[in-house]
Amino acid sequence: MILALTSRNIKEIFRNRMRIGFLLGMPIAFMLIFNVAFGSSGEEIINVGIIDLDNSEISATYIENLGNISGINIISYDNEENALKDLKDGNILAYMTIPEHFGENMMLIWNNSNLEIDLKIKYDETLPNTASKFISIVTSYTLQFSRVSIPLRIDSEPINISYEKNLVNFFAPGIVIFGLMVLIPTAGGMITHDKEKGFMERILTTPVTSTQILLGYSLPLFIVALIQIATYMGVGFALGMKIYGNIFLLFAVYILTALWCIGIGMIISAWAKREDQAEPFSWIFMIPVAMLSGLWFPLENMHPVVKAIANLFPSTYSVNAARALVLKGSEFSAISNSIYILIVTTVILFLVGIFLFKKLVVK
Amino acid sequence: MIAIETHGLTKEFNGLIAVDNLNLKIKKGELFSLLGPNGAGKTTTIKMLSCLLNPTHGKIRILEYDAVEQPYEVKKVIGVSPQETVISEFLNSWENLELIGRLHRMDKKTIKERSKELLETLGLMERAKDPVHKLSGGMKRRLSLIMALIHDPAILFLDEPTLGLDPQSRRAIWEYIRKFKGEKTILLTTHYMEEADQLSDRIGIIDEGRIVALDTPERLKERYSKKKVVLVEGENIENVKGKYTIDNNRLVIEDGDIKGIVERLSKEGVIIKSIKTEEPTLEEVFIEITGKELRE
Ligand SMILES: Nc1ncnc2c1ncn2[C@@H]1O[C@H](COP(=O)(O)OP(=O)(O)OP(=O)(O)O)[C@@H](O)[C@H]1O
Ligand SMILES: [Mg+2]
Repeated sequence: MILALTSRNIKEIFRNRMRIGFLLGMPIAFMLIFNVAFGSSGEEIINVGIIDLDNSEISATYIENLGNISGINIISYDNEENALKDLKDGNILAYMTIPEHFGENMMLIWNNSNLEIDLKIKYDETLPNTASKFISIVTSYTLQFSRVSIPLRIDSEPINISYEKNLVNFFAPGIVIFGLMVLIPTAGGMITHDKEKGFMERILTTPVTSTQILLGYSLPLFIVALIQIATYMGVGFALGMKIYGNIFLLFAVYILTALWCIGIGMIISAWAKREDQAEPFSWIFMIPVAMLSGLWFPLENMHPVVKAIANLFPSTYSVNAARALVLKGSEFSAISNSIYILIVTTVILFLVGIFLFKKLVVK
Repeated sequence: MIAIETHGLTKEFNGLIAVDNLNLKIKKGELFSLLGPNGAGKTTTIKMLSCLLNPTHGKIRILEYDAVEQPYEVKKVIGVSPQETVISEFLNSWENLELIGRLHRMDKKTIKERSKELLETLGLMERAKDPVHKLSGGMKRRLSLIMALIHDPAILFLDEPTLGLDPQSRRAIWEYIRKFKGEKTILLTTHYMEEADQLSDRIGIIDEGRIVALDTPERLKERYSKKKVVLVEGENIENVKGKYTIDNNRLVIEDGDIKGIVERLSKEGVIIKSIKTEEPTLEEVFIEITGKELRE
C-alpha cells in the first residue's frame, strides 16, 4: 500500500523535470555561483592597509616581506583614520595595526622569551571569506617570521580566526539546508496538486488509511532528500569542502532537516486548497526564514530581536549544528541542544501532520 | 437483495441543501441512473455513497456495511469513476492502473491481466506506455474510467462516465457496461438521455437535491410524456375537423393509432403526402418534470 503510493510519487517527482531541477539543480547552481563569485582563489590581489606604530627596522622588514607574498598588495597608513576611510570606501578590504614595541618584542622572542604578539586586523565584514584568507596568510607568515611557535594573538574584527576557514566550508552547510528546505514547497505543492485535481479523493476511494497516505507521500520525499544530501555533499567535496566534525552526525543533522521540512510541507498542504496557494506560500515562508537563520550570511552581527526571531525557526538550529560540525569540528555535546530541538520539532510537526490528514480524509 | 440503500440521506453545505432526504434502494445487479441538471446533487450523492463525504443526516448501507461506520469495508467493494478526469500525469496507463490495483491489494499478475483486458477493450493499448499527460482528453477520460474497474468491484459508481467522449468511444463504453448488467450493481449519473435510456434498469430524476421521479425508462416515458404523436403532410389538411393542430403545414395528432388516422383522414378528403410518428423521449419527460433543459 505505502510502497505503491511511494513508487507512484517517486515517479511523479523524477519525471517532472521542473521539480527535480529545483530540488537538485538550484542548490548546486548556488554552490557553483558562490564559489566563482567569492572564491577566485589565489589569483586575485587583496589590497590591505598597514599602520606601523612601531616604526622599527624589524617592523619595516616584516611589512616588506609580507608585501612580497603573492596576492597581497600593501598600502601604508600613518593613522587609523585614513585606513578606516579607505576600508569604508572599499579601497582596501582590511587593515592591520602593528603595535608599538613590535620590533623589541620580536627580538626578545628570537632570544627565546615567551612573549605574545598582538596584531589588530579590521576588515570589511561583507567579505568575510576574502578577509579570512588574509588573516590566515598573516597568521602563517607571522609564525614563520618569528621562526618559533609563539603565542600570536591576532585581534580580528568582527570574526575571530580561531578555526580554519574555507570558503566552501562556510557556505556549503547553509546551501545544503536551503536545498533541503525546497522540500517544503515540493511536499506542499505535490500534495495540494493531488488534492486539487481530485487524485487524493481517488486514492481515498480505495481502502487506505490516512497514515498510510501520509507515509506514502513522506517516504518518497525522504528518498529524494537522501539523494539531495548525497549530491550536495558530492558537489561540496568537489569544490574542496573539508568536514572537520563527525560526518555521520552531519548526516543526522541533514536528515532531521529533511524531516522537519517534509513535515512543514505536509501541514501547508493540509491547509491549502489549491496548488497556487501552497507553492507561493511555501516560498514566502522560506526565503525570510532562510535569511534570518543565517543560511547565507552569519547571524553574529544581527540585531538581538532578529536573533530572537531566528531562534523560533528550526532552520537556525539546523544551520548552527551543521556549520559547527563542518567548520569547527564540534563534538556531539556542543550541538546536542540543537539536535534535541530538531528532533522534538520533527516529532511535533509529524503529529500535527497526521492529525490534519485524518481530518482531510472524511469531510 | 439490496446492494445500495439510503435513508433520509441529506447533505448541507453551509446552509445550502445539496442533497435533500434521499431514499434509494438499488438492487444487486441493477443499473440505476441519476439524471439531473447541473447542481442537482448527483456528485454529492456519489461522494457520500463512496465515503468521501460524511452525510449531514441519514444512513447509507452498501451491501452489509454502514458507509459512515465502516468506510474501509465499503471501499473494498466499490469502484469509483469521478466526474473529473483523475489520473496521475507522469505515469503511463499501465502504471496508473497498477497503482489503483495495488491500493486494492491485488497481486501484480492479476493487475497485469486485468489492465491488458481493459486497455484493449477501450482502445488504449497502443498508447499505453506513453506518460498520460501526452494522451488526448478522450483517452485520459477512458483511462480514468477503467481505473475504477481494475479491481473488478461488485459495486460501481460512475459519475458521468462518458463525459466528453466521441460517439464511438461512448458506444464502446456502453457496450462494456452492458456486459456487466445483472452482474454488478452500477449507479451512474449522466447528462446523456440516450445513455440513461439505453443502459438503465431504472432512472431517478433528481432536481435540487430531491428525487422527483423514479421508474424504468419505459414507464417514465409512458407516464410523463405526451402520447405518441403523428405528423401528417398533405393536401386539404386545413379542412380536417376535430382536436388537431397545424404546425408548419403539418397536421399534428396526439394519437398513436396510425391506421385509424389514415382511414379517417381519407374519408375527410385529405390526400396524404407523408406521415410519420414521433416517439416520446426521456428529454420530454425530463423537461416536463423539472422544467429545465439538460446541458449536453
Ligand atoms: N464542497 C462543496 N461546498 C459547497 N457547496 C457544494 C460543494 N459541493 C457541491 N456543492 C453544491 O451542492 C450542489 C450540488 O452539487 P453537485 O456537484 O452534487 O451537483 P451535480 O448534480 O453533480 O451537478 P453537475 O451536473 O454539474 O455535475 C451545488 O449547488 C453545489 O454548488
Ligand atoms: Mg456532478
